[in-house]
Amino acid sequence: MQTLLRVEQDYGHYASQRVNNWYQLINDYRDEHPRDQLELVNNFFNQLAFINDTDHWGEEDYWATPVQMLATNGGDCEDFSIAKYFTLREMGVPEERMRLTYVKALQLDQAHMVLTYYPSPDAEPLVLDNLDTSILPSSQRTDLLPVYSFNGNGLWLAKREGNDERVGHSERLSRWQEVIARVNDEQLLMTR
Amino acid sequence: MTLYRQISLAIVLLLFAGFLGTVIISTDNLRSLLLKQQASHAQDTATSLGLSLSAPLSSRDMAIVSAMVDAVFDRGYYRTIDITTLEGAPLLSRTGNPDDSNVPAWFIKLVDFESPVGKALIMSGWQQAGRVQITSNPGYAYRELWANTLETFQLFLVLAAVIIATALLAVTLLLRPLRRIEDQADAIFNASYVLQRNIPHTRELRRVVTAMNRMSEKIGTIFAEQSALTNSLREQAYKDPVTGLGNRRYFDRQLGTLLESSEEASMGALLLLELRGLADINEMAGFAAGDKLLLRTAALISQGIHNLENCFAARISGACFGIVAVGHDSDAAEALAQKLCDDLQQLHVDVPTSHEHIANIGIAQWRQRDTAHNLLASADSALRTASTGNRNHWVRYTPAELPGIPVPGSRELRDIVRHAIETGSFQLCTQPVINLAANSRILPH
Repeated sequence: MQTLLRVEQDYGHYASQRVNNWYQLINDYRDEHPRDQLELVNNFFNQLAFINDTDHWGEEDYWATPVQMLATNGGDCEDFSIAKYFTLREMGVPEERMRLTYVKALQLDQAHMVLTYYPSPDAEPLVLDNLDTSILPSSQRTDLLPVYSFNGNGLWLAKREGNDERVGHSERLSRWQEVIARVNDEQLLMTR
Repeated sequence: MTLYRQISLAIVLLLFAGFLGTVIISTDNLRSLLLKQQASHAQDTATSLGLSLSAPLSSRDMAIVSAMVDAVFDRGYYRTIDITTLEGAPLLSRTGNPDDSNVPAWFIKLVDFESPVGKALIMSGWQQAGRVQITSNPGYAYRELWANTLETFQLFLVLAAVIIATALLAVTLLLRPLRRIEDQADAIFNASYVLQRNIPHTRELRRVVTAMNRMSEKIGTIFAEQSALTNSLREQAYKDPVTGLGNRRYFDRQLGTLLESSEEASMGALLLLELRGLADINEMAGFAAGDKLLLRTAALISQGIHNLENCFAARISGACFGIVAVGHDSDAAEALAQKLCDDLQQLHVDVPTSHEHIANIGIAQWRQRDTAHNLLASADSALRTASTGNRNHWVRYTPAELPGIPVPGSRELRDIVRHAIETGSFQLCTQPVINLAANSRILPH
């Protein structure tokens, strides 16, 4: 696979191995119970180190794709959440149940992002976080103050409609759409 | 249809096709752009509104919710803003008109801009509390697209006018040589072999013009040659090669035509000049000498008639020259004959003739219409008489038996008859006319 080769080329052998493991994770647990999937994915990514964007990418607020995160062996809270989101989506978890939630980490007094999972629309969500590695219902995460949640659904659709570069230059793409675009590119390379 | 109209029509059609193509492409592109723009705009607004509404909606403060929605809606970019519960039950709605009044209905129908929708969540803490949905106002898009179409159309109109004007001007300039070619062809038709001097630069036209010139030149040359040939043949037909005077054929024709024309030939004289002993000269001194004599004689004749009006001369046989003096009376004819005789006397000096008697002249006068035959016969008869002498001299033909009696002219005769009638000095005799075969009398009855 091209992505693996490229990762190996650019980031080394261990990097490509990590990416390979990730592919395997997705394939092996594609049809598992969502609760189990959440656990597996959460644990898988929480192995990676937390590095803030400026140190890691040399750029403030860079949203990495899962492959980039695995290849570089680390990322910040957005990278974790995004990686988990895409992975779970690939595994078959409906997009409607997942949200990327902006929170305030009270103890760190910092902005933070987590992935929230809603078993049903009006249910209490489960929080997948890299600060606290266990998956807990939101009511139990008193160390986090929720600010706002959004899903990738509408943006995903909007992105899908026109994927030509010509349009991309003229409109102001949000970072979300950028990362989607990059993920999409990687997925195209990854195609079976 | 003229070339101008054809070109104009072709340009208009092509430009129209170009215009249509351009408008379609640019409209399509603009449409995509506007779609993207409006989609991201609607989405961003939905997201911000969702974020803003999270707090007031949680505390069920509908007044603030309403105020916030209005704040966004009244800017006019959106057609609808809908606040619903999670399940979709409506909580608050705002709807506006599309505002596309300036754009024609057919254009709207054709473009069919689907207003993008932006959706976002309204949160209550960790819970999802509601949804906000925003529909963009397509009016802005339609106005932009219509303006684009109009501007493109205007551009193409101007372009069409300019291009057509330029093209027609170019065609006019290019076709001018064709006009000249046409004129040249007409000129050739009228036997005027003109050449075009302004050779056009355009290769195709240059070739045609050059070809026309070559053809004109060639035809001109051919005709000139033919003309020259015809002239030379005519000359040969009518010219005597030795003396340069007309030949017998020429003489006969001229004389015949003259006598047939009613007015001009009322009076005149025919002179026949015969050289004596030409055959002997040729034998003894060679043809060159004979020719020389002929030439000198011809020269003297030409000189002699030079000052006389309506005179022509020709060499009508080996040694014989004919001179016709139209409109001249007997005195003039005799004077001419005498001069010629005297002049010919001089020739004796440098031409090896056997003696001084070189030539004789016979004159035949006519005062009314006569035939060439008669005249020649008369002149010939006079010539025979003249040749009995022993020096150059001339004799005038007199029809009567007695030499010297002048032949009265028609006026004279008329006077004689009148006089006779007046004086009664005539006698009338009658005689019956009998038909011998039938032995019967015809006149008088």
